[in-house]
Amino acid sequence: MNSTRACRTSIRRKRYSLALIIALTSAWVNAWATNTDHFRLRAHQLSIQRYNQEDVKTEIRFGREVSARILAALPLFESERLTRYINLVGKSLVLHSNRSEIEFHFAIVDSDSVAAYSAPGGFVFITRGMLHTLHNEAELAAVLAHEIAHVNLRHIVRELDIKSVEKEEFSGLTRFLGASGDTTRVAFNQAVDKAYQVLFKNGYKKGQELEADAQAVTLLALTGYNPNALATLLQRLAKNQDQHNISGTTHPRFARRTKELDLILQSFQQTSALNQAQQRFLQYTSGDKP
Amino acid sequence: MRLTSLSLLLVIMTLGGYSSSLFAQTGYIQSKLAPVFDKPSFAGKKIASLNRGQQVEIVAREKSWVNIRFEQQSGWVAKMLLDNHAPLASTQVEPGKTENTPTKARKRASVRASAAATRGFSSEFRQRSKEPRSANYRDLEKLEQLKIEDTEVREFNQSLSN
Repeated sequence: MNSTRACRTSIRRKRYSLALIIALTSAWVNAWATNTDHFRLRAHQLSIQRYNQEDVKTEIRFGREVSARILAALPLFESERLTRYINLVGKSLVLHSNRSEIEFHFAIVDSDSVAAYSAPGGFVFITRGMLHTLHNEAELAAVLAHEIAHVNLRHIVRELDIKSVEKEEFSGLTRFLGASGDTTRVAFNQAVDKAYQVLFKNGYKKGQELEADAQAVTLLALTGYNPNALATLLQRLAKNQDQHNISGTTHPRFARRTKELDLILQSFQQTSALNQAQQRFLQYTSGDKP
Repeated sequence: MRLTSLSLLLVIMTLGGYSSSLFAQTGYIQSKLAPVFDKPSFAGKKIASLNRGQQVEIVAREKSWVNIRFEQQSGWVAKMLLDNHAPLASTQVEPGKTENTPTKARKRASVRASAAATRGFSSEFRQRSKEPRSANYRDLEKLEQLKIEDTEVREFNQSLSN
C-alpha cells in the first residue's frame, strides 16, 4: 500500500516537473521569438559597426591621403561663397546622419565631368560639371547625401579592412600608419591606390551603390528635402547622358538605380517634405557660376 | 493541489507572453538631430527632435522604423539613427600631418604602381595625374580649414521649413 502511494506520488511529481518544464520552455521560446528581431538588429549593426575610436582615427587619416590624391588630379574650384553653401547643405544632411563622430568636409573640384566622390573619414567632392546640371538645392542635397552614405556605410573601409591595429596584431591598414619602414609605406600607398581605383575606375560594387541610394533618400527626407530629388536627377542624367560628360562606368545603369529608387519611394508614402529650396539654390549659384 | 499546479502553469505561460517587456531594449540616438514622428512614415507629424546620445526604450519595430519611448512620450524614429550603444565621441585628426614621407623606395614603387593605376582612366585624369602618386595637401588643408558652427548649420536647415 505504502509502495503504491509512493509510486503514485513519484509519477505525479514527474508530471508536475514535465508540466513546469513545458511551461518554462514556452515562456522562453516566446521571449526568444519576440527578441529575435532585437538580435537580428544587434547582429546586423554589429557587423557594420564593429569599430571604435581608433578605427575612426585610422579611417580619417587614410581618407586624408585619398583626398590629397583626388585633389592632385582635380584641384579645388575656388569660390568661397559656393563652397560655404555646399558645406551648409552637406552639413545639414550630416546633422541627421548616424556617423556623427566624424566631421565632414565638402568641396567643389575643377572638372567638367558630371560626378561626385567621397573618401573615408568624411571628405566629399562634387565637380563643377555636376553643379552645372543641378536644378535646385534638393538635387544638390541628393548628390551629397549619396556620397555621405558611402562614408556612413564604410564601403571602402570595409573593402580594404581599414581598422585600428589594437584589434589584431596584423589587421587592417593601421599597422602601416606611423611605421617608418619603406615597405610599409609602399603597402600603405598601394591601399590608397586601391581606394583611388574604386573611386575613379572600377567603382563600388553595384550593391553598395544601391545601398547608398537607399540611405541617401532617407537622409533627404530626414533633413527636410524632397526624397524624390535623387530619382528625378538620375532620370534627367540618363536622358541626357550623351550630352553630359558622365562617368557612367563606375555606377550601375541609371535604369536599374531609378527602378530601385521607385520601390524605396513607394514605401515613403506621401511625405510632407517636398522642399526643393530652388530659390536659395539660384541665389547662391547665380553669383559664382560654376 | 492540482488546481494550484494548473494556476502556477497559467501564471508562467502568461508571464511568457509578456516576457518581452522583461527584456526591454535600450537604444541610443546616433545623430545630432533625430526627428520623431507620430507614425512610422515621413508623412507623419513630427512630434519631437532627439539629440545625440539620448537614451530611449525600444518598444517595437516596423520595416525601417523603430517605435521608441522617451521622456514619457512615444513615437517613431528612423532605424538608421538608432543603435544599441552610445555614439562614439567626436573624432578629429590634426590637419597638416601626413602619413607620406617621400622616400626613394616609395618613388620607385610608385612609378610602376601609378602606371598601372592610371590605366583605364579617362584622358583627363591621366593628364592631370602626370606626377606619380602626386598629392595635393595644400588644397586638402584649405578645405579642412573651413569651419562652420553647428548653430549656423541648424539655422540653415531650419529655414528649409520656413
